[in-house]
Amino acid sequence: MEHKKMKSFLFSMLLAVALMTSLGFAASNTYYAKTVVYFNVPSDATFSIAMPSDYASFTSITGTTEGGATATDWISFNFSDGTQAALQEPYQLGSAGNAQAGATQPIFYIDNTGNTAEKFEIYVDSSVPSGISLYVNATCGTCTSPLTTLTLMGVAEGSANVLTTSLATTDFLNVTLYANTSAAADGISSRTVYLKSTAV
Amino acid sequence: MPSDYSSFTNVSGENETDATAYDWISFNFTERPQYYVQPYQLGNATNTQNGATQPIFLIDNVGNVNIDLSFRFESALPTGITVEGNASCSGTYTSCQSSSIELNTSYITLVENISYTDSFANITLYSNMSSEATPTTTGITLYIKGVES
Repeated sequence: MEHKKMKSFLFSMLLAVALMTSLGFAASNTYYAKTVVYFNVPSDATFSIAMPSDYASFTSITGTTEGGATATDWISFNFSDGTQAALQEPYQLGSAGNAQAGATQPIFYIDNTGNTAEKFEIYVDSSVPSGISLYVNATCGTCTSPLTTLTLMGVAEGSANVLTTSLATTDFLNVTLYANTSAAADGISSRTVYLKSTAV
Repeated sequence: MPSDYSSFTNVSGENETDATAYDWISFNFTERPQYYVQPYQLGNATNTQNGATQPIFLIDNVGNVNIDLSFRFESALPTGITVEGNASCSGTYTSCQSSSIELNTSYITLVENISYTDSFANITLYSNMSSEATPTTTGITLYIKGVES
């Protein structure tokens, strides 16, 4: 009986040692967990505009709707005759010293300050007065499909002129406006011109 | 994690390849630049980190030895993006990284010698996005390593 008890105890001991050894190998002194971290960076189609008075001073455009559009300086076409076929260039804030002079001194000098290429469009909010024609064209360094041909300005967003389909974040866009008259009535009138960017 | 601080995922992986996976998290930037953005668990704004009071990771040492906790990203982060981590601890520990420190592809230790008895580490992450960042949705694995002190 005593002999049997001893054998049983020895077995238990052996079993216990075997279990302890097994647990020792299963455990570790280093454990790892992991997760995936996503970074979601949205497109940002911001841009800024400089005008003839100072091409180093840009206005940052923050408006994201037509109603919230960022306002820049007003411009004017100062005709001297009701019929003036020669294309006139606009003044910034009515100052002849800050006149547009073709693409070398555009009325709008646009810098893509976003984080993506941008499409640019331009339009006027409503029809210009009878007898007046308003034109637009654009040049750039390496943008896609610039509107180099002088084109009548579209009225309302649905008829906007595409100035370029893709302006890189490293590039600039020169926008020039021209107008002439044909039997236009005298007087002063105004319209709002919108510039719109879209991420592409 | 923020969705339920009483439900813990047991970590059993003993190397990076077998690392125990848990819920993905995301930094959802809304403007550029943007700083100290806090992460969401599973993209859900209601399960967002809220500083140390609602950390992205609440870590419990369930072993039988004190451990160090360190973190690293599997690969470089997108251009213009950085992630900082810090920690606050309860119970017994040697050090806890209270000021934010930038995480990278090498293990950075945020907690040293935290006890296995009634001790917890709150880990908080923050991300910064500079103007250089370009539009992206990029996922990068973050490893958490617990090693015997």
